[in-house]
Amino acid sequence: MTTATQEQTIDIAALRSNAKTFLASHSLPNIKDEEWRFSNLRKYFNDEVVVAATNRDTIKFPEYYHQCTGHKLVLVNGLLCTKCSDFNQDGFEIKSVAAQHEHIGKNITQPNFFTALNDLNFPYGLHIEINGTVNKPISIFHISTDNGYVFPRVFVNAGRNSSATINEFYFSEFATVFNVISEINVAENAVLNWHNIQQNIPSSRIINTAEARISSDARFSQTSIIQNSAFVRNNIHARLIGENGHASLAGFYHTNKTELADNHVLIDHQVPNCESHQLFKGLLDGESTGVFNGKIFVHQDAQKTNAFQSSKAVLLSENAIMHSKPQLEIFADDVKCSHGAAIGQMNKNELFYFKARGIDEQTAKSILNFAYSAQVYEHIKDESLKNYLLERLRKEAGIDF
Amino acid sequence: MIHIKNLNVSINGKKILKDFSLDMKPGEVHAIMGPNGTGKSTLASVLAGKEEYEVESGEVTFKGKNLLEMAADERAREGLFLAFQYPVEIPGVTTTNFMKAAVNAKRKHLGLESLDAKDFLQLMKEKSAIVELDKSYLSRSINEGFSGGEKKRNEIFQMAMLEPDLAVLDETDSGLDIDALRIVANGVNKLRDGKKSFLVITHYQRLLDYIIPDFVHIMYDGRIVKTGDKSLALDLEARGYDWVKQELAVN
Repeated sequence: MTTATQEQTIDIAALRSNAKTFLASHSLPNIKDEEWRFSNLRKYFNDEVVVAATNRDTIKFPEYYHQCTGHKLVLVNGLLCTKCSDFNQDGFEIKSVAAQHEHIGKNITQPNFFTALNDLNFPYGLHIEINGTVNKPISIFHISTDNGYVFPRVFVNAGRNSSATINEFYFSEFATVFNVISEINVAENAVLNWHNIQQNIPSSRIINTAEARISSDARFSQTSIIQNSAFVRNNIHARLIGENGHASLAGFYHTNKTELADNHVLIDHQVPNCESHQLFKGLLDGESTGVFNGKIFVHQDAQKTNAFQSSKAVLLSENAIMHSKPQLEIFADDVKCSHGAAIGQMNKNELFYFKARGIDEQTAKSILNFAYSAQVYEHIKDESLKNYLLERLRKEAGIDF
Repeated sequence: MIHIKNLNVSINGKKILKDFSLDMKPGEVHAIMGPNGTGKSTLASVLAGKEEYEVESGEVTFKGKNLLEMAADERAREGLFLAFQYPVEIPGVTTTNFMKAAVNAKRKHLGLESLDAKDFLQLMKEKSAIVELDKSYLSRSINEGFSGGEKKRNEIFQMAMLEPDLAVLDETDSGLDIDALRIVANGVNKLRDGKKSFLVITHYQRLLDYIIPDFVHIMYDGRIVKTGDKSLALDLEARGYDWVKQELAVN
């Protein structure tokens, strides 16, 4: 990207009009589309896009809203609800997106049906400008008050040498489609940790697009937890655009019934001396489906790249399906890249070891699954969030330690 | 304690145990020796309830109950313990938590309440001392990154925690240096109380310098072919297994 385009501001009306043109020739993708081969949207979505109506009387919050101690930003159907939010701007600033914006839309280089829908419809762009060390996590709560689509749009600029943690939560008691876009810039030497908690919205669907650009000496991490959600598609793209940048993407998914969890991950090494890690683990039960598509792209100039990817999925039932597709495209010759993708069942030797100590099969499975899941939870850098989620996981597994 | 009569076991259609019989009384220590591939480890696995093995015929009575009808976890709660030849590494589960689940499963089976945190820690402290297992190991994932000797000590520690009536030690001595061997054997000896029985499966006589058996059995081709006292192990060490094979051929 040249300096000229970097400085150019985006005209939101033009962004919307482009989206409109795009949507005139694009509809809900089907499985013939390579990007959606394994996630049959027609099982989970209607063709018709209805925007959710806002009803401020029915605003409800997930449990963690009442427990978290950091900054709370509540987006009701994509709109910032100042009354329900609770934050001071210590180390950061909340800006709204006016008719012109210097960044919105710039990180989305390849529009698709859902990003265009968001471009056209987002009611409010939440711009978080991080300009120092933010000690407490900033939690964004996406709340919906109706059936239909909501379009949260988030832009985060983590300024030079800044450091912050952002958490995202979703809550709806309706048949909501959360069509979320986050555009993220992590400037020189900044640290941004991001946690995406996609839990306990069994009647909703999530299409989440996160596009991060990571500058030199900056660190970006994102961890997603998918559980008890009807349909989640994450498109997580991390582009390393400055040397010594570091990106770490992790995800855990536990699906059941006919749920679907789809993580499409891209790490784009554009420059030398960067490091990236991907760790995705899943437990698939019932007739659920898991998808992992993990791409590592190493440009010709990106020498001394270290890129690691690991995808593991355990099928807990005969009818669960996992599609795993690692894709490495490496054009530099001096790189260290590794990937591993495993799909299997529970390890019989581990189970037997438990049983040989008198632990019944059900308890053994719960403990082993807990341990397997917890390894991804360990990537969560907000200690109180991590403990809260682990505690819930323990409770659900019936484990008392 | 345990009564095994004419046990026939196969895996994938291959017969491993052939009319295997053995009787052990409470408090006795039996050693089973024999060359590779004679079915020693199969015996251990079948007793512990590993499902891959097919029991074709025979009886196993443990403390008066039909062992073969019990699932593996039930056998363990009834008081049978297998010290694994190759203990499994389990990432993410600490030995402490593993033992908490195991000890409380057994207590529940016996109609006792779960141990509270303080009593459990006290028990851990006491039992880990028996095998000189540093307490840092207990808060690490089970066997993950442990050396061979540490894994075996962990097995004996678990045995001490669960206080089984019958412990089957499947080549616990293999891969141990002499110090580790002594620690493991001491651990076993400290648990001998005249009531608990031990079935020690080994290749080598040297373990039996430390754990003195009441009986030594030689196993060959799926069954016990010779039984004696501890001097039999010394004979074997001196003369090798060929002597036994020759004797068998003559008879």
